[in-house]
Amino acid sequence: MSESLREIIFDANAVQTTYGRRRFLTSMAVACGSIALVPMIGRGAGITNMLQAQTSGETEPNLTDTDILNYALTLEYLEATYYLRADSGSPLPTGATIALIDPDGNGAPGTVTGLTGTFPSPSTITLSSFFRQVRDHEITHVLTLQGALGAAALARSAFKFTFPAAVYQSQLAFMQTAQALEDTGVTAYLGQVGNLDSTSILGTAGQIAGVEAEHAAAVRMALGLPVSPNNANFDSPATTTQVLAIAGGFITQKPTLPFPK
Amino acid sequence: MSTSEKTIVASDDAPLSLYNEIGYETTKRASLGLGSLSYAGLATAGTLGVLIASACSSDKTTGPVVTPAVISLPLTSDTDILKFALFLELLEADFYTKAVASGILSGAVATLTTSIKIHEVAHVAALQAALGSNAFTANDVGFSFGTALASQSSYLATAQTLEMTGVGAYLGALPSITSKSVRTTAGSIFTMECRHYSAIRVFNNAPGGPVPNAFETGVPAASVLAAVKSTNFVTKGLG
Repeated sequence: MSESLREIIFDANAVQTTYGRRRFLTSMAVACGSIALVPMIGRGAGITNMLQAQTSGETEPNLTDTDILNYALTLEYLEATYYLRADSGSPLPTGATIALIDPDGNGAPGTVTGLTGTFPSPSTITLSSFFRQVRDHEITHVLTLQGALGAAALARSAFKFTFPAAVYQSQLAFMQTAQALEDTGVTAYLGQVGNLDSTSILGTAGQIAGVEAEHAAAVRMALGLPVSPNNANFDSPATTTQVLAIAGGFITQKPTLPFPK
Repeated sequence: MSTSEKTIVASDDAPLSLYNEIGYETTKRASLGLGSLSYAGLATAGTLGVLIASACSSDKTTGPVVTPAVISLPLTSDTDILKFALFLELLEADFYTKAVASGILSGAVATLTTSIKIHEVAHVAALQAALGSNAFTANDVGFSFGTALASQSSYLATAQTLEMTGVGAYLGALPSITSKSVRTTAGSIFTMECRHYSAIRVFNNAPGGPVPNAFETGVPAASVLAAVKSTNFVTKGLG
């Protein structure tokens, strides 16, 4: 079951190997030119590339910053709900309630409430303490994005999230799904870095994207996996369409989404 | 010319007023032993001119010859940002290459470190390709890590500091990058640094755990440079 989960339902690595690599090379080729455009003081090399850098660099130019924030909020709803259902038995961050974060599932804890063990040696950090922190981070991200969006925020009550029972029936399946969710989150945020117009929002998105990557890597260490998907040297961006194709299977009810478009 | 890019610039505006809620710096500083040379302190302590002046004049014991500085602050263009990133990646690549060769690492730490080394070397190559004729090489810089590579525990502590520095540098610069496509490729390196950082924290048994805060924190370039200088690892390349 865990194999089918990772490979069929939503395997973040699939994004990396198919879309990701191609997109990355494309963006780099464009990037080379635009960099050189700036200060190239009397250097002859790279002029051809410089002249190629006329594109905006936006992969989804029709998305507004508000759309992108709601996209991020949707993914954070998904993640927060996932972790909350594994462990709702400890105090939540200030401002959060189970009714707010998981109204459709009421935070009903799965059987993974008692995560056991530690990260591999020489680490002695317990997995239970780590995943509780991750849960709280995702809830904090939800609250922050809701605050940034104000009245424009998609309501949590308009969504229903459903996870296969198997992901809460073993610690391994739970961690594998967490790893896939976090890796997907990284690709999702990276995919919007070039689409945001506000540098302030860009900064915030970076603050969250970095933490998603940190979560992903730590879970990967717990699973004995390489620190990045396929041990790649770079993370890869994904579009809203690609991310929804991966994570959308867990979204069983949703409002009209402002993405993709 | 194939590859990517990166960043490093000061971001003065705190996005969505998140900084107040974070407390990240405090946690990191306390656990990492950066001591008095904290980012926050440095950000207000010296002007860049002062930092550069000290770089040129104070550490004579480690600088046998005055060599050209490969970077300069403030970072006023995407190229400046990429050059600053390249300097940091060269530092990291050299550190991990020497760590792997040292024989002091074992088990999961050795496996992770071998991966990180490969990643950092690839980041160097990507930045050099992106910079083209503006790029510099390992021959233009020099690093000596001394007792930081005396044991696995000292290695882990130093690696955590270096990755924290890289994470802060990239995130601090990201909003200042003009080109949206460069932002994306810089971001794709930034999140790798984040991955390295938390993985190292796992094996370093860092207080606060692998991911101590809900938000990462950007650091202005001048503060990054000061923190790098404070390690005394740089023997060539800062003038």
